[in-house]
This record gives sequence, structure tokens and C-alpha cells, in this order.
Amino acid sequence: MRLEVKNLHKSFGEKEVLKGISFEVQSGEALGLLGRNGAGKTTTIRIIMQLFAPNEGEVLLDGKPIDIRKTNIGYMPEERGLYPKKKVIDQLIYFAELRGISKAEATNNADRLLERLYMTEYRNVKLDTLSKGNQQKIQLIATLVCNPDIVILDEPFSGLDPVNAMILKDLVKEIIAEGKLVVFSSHQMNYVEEFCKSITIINAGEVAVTGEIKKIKHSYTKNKVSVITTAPETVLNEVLKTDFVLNTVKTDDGLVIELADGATINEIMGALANSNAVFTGVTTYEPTLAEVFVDYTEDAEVVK
Amino acid sequence: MIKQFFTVFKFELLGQLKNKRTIILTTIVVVAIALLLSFPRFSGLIDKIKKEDGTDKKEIQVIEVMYDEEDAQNIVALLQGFLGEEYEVKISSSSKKALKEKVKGGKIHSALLITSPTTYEYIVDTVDMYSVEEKMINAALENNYRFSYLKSQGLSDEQVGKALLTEIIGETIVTGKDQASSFGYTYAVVLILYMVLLLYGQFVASNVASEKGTRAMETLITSAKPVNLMFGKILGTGSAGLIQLILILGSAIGFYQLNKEYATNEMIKSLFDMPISVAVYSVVFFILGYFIYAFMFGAAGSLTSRVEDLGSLIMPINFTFIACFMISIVAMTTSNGVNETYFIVCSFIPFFASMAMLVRVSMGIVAVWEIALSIGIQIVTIVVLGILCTKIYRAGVLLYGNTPKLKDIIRILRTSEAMK
Repeated sequence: MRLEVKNLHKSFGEKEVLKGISFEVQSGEALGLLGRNGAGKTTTIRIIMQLFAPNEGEVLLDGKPIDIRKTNIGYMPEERGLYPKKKVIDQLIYFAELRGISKAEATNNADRLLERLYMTEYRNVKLDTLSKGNQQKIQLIATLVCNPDIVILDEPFSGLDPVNAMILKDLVKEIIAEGKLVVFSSHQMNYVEEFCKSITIINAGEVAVTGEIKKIKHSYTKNKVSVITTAPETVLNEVLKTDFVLNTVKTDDGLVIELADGATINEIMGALANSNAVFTGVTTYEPTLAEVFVDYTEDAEVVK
Repeated sequence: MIKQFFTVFKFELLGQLKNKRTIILTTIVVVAIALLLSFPRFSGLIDKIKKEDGTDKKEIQVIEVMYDEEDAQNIVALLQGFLGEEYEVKISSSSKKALKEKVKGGKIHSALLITSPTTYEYIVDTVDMYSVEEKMINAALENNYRFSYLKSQGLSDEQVGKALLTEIIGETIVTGKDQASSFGYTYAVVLILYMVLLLYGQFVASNVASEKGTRAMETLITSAKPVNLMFGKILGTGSAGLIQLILILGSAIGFYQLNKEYATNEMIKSLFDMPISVAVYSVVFFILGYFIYAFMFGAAGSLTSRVEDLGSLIMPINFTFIACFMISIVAMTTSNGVNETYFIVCSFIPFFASMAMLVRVSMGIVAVWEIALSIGIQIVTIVVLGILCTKIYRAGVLLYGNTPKLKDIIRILRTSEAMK
């Protein structure tokens, strides 16, 4: 399956929340929707889920407009929603049945997922007796209990401790491996990096960058060099007083050099070699996703 | 699609029936009804045991002052006949003072002093509310006096007997409604209708509001059609109400039938004298009224984002329904009130019709076309409210935060910012 989001615009009253969001994702892939609070992630997801109608633009599934109730889709809203006073198993079966699954299959799926997330002991208790993290796991089970082809998760990791986040992460990896199409939003970059092939960074209602993480990082890093060294900063500054260095940033084990246009790693290596400074490594700088994220979203903020 | 409706219906129905609150309440009511209706049987049984012991026969001792003995014996015989087996009427030769002592000491039930053919004194320790003793004594003396008077006028025993003892047999044929006898069950039905509708309507409102409060709504609305969710919920909750009502009324009728021969209380008897037609109309108007109010309560629930805010939104609905109840009660309790113009008008106003028309059918004069028109108006209202309520329910998922103003609701409904 192929999910295409095309040029979504949405305003609430005077306020324009989305200003043309586009991205696409296929079965067996996960797309991470990244953005700061209020960037428009949840609004985008709600439009995909047909909770809101967009002012402009469309959501296509295999080239046709999506019908959310005819598509086998699992949705985990940002604002978690289950019945606090009902038994865990009862509501899991209910949510699956609403999606057209038979009771037997629903029970089967629910039990399998409960076991998978180490939640079997809570099968027959009321939801509100569970801790917040465990309720969150039940919420994920409720999303997956209909065995969906498309899984949409709005901030699935918020409020989870590292162990539960790990369990959840493994499960999401599994469903991607099973060939499901996953769209999720988050601002926890470390999780995103682990199982997302592509990301879309949304900033102030616009797509700041979209594509494969590898390529994004690559394009972002071509003008930065990381130097591992124990030499004192003063020495280094002396060495690097050249035209091809735009800026330097000190790190724990050395520094990151931002190159001027046209300069390459060779020039840096040459300069370092000619000095007395001791250095143990020079590599193309590989930024973390968090840095990419901050950079893109800060930039746009300034423009605004 | 219909499967989805039944999924919601079953979930809501079972949720309601499995609810501990419902189970406990129903059990208490059924037990209370069982006790109340079985009471006459048990108290009757105790009386019977007492009687068999022979200890409880009320002894009335009769003395006659200034009067001849034959008359006294006639009176004793008549009185014994009127009062029946529960009493033992005897002639006594004690003095008035001695009898007074005996009555006070509880040795005998009472004493009757016949002071002349037309006057007497009756000495009794306590007179209970429903005592028939004095009436019977009057009757005995009256009969005795008339008998001897007519005889002294030269009539034979036979003629006197005929003059005095001929019974008049009559029957009242009511062409309209016998409001006296229909009042009891009408009152009961109206009260039950009022309580059940209010209770279950509010269940609908708080269910919807808590689905919004807990945000389960967003998952629901993206999985199922709003119309299935809303109708499933309202029908599921309503069916639970109907089942509860059938359990309660069924047990009431059952226990009444079991104890029928012991039932002495006229009020309770009149409650069970309901004609089948009224019972059928009660069910019809219960269902119609439930839908009208449940849809309004459902819409109110959709407009809040927290259960705590629900109170202010359902208040107008509650007031409307209380007004409907009050109007019905006032009409029932005033002379010919159920046939007054204002009440007839009420029976065609959708929000009042279910109860008002039921009262009219039960107690007033009403033509078949009027019933049909009222039912028709209610069905149309239900369809309109159903559509409106489903729309509000669907739009409600978008309304978080403050309780929306009327213009916000209208705006959302008109711009259909909410999708299908």
C-alpha cells in the first residue's frame, strides 16, 4: 500500500495551522512525523484519520481518496482514549469488533498482544487500576488488535519509561517487518532514528524537510568536519585561522569545524598535518537526528 | 454496517446490565415489591393462626338497661350476624361499672349498653381507624327498632321482612373513563415513566460525556459510523432500561398474582386493575418518550468535554421533563383536568406528548386519530432529533475545552467542518 499526503492546508478560524503538508510512505516502511509542539503533527494525523476535513489538499491510498472506515487501520490518538471503568479484555475486543473483526479473532489477537507486551496478568482487571505506562501499552494493543494494514501512532512514546519504551519500540519494529505501513509522530529523536527509514520534519505548518534519514543527514553534513584531538583550544584556533574555516564548535573529544563554501576535508587535514597539534582522527561530521531537527525547526522559526 | 450497530448495542447493553449499581438497585426494588405484596399473606397467616388458637375472638358483652330481654336477644343475634365470626356477642348480667373495668383490663373487647330502643352507649378501649363496630351496632338497633315498630302497626313477620330486607341491586355504567379507578394505575405508570426516562436519559448523557472526557471518542469515531455509535448507544441503554422495567413490573405482577387472594388494600388492588390497552400504550409511550429525551441527553453529552460540566447542559432538559411531569400530575388531580384544552395541547407537543397522551389515554376522553397524530408527531421529532444528535455527536469530538456556545454548535453543524 502507498499512502500519499498531498498539499494539506488547514485553518482554524483565522489561524492557519497547516500550510501545505506533503509526504508519502509505503507498506513495510515507517514514516516519522517530527515537529515541535504546535507544529501541526496532530492536525495532519487527524486529517489523515478524517477527523477534520482539510481546507485544501487530499490524502490518497493507492491513488484513491482514503476512506478510513473501509481501510483496516489502527489509530492511536495523541489524547489516549479508553474506558477506565471497563475490563481490559472487554474493551480490546470491542474496539476490534467495531473494525469488523470477529469476536473469536479479536480475542485471539488481544491475548497474543497482551502476552507479547507482558500484560496477560491485567487481562481481566479494570483499566483504571493500571499504571499510566501500562495503560499506554493497552492503548497500543487496542490500536493493533484489529491486525491493521496501516498503523498511525500519535506520540506513542510519551510517558513511557525506558524499559517500556524499548518493548514498544521492538513491537513497532516487528510490525514494520511484517510489512505494515506505519506513520507516527514524535519528538523523541533516538526512537525515530532506530526504526524510521524516512522522516518528515514539520515546522509551523510547513514541511521543513522530508526524505530518507540517511540522505537528510548526508546533505546536512557535507560541510562539517569532526576532529578528535586532545590539543588545547588556543593551539587549534591558531591552526585553523584560514579562509576555509567558517566556524568551530568545541566538543567533548575535540571540535567540529564548519567549512566555507568550496572547502573540503582535505584542506583541514592539510592544515592539521602542518601544525604541531596531536590529533587521533578526522571524519566527516555525522550529526544526530536531534541536531538536524533543532537546526531545521529553529531556522524556520527565525524566518517566521 | 448493521453488524457495527449490534456491536455497539451489545457493548452498551451488557455494560449497563453488568453495572453493579443497576444490579443492586433492581434487586432492592424487586425484594421490596415482593415483601410489600406478600405482606398481607403473611399477616393474614398470623391472624389465622391466632384465630385457630381461639384466643383472639373479640368478645362483646351486651347489657340492656331499661329494656326488655327479648329485644336484647334480637339485637345480639342481629349484631352477631353483622359482625361475623371474628366477634362473640353475649348477653351479660354485669353492671355498667363492672363491664367498664373488664374492657379497661382487656378481659373483653367492648361492652354495649342499650339504654332505649334507639339509644346506646358503647364502651371500648381503643378504636382503630377502620373499625366497623359502631356502624354495625347502629344497623342492628335500627333494624330491630323498625322491625318491632312495623310489627306493632299490624304487619306480619313476612311483610316486615320484605319491607326491611329487600336488597336493591344496581350497576353503574361508565361511558367515558372512570377517573376514580384509573387514577391509581395512571399515577403509578406516570411516576415510573418519569423515573426511568430521567435515569436512563442521564445514563446516555454521562456515557457520551465520559467517552469524550476519556477521549475514547476519537478512537470510536475513526472506527465506526457516528450513526451506529449513537443509535447503538441509545438503543442499548434503552433496552437495558426496558429489561430492568420488565423485571420490576413482572415481579410486581407475579407477586400480586401469587398473593391476590390475600390482598385487602384497595389502593394496591387498583394499581393492578390496569386494562391491557393502557399497558400496551404505556410501553409505546415509554419507548417514544425515551427516544426523544435520550437523543437530547446524548446531544448534551456530546457538547461537554468533561462529565463535571454535564450538569449545566442537561439542566434545561431536566426542567422540561419535570414540567411535563408536573403538568400531567396537576391535570390528573384536578377535576376533569385531563380533558382541559391546555392538556390536550400538551399531548401534541413533542417533549410533553409521551406522558400527556398516556395520561389522556388512561384517564380522559381521546379519539383514535388524536393518539395516532400524537404518535406521528413524536416519531417525526425522533427522526429529526436523531439526525441532529448524530451530527452534534460527530461534531462534538472536535469541541474540547469550554462548554461551547450555541453559535459555535450552529457554526460547526453548518460548515460541516466535521466530516461524515
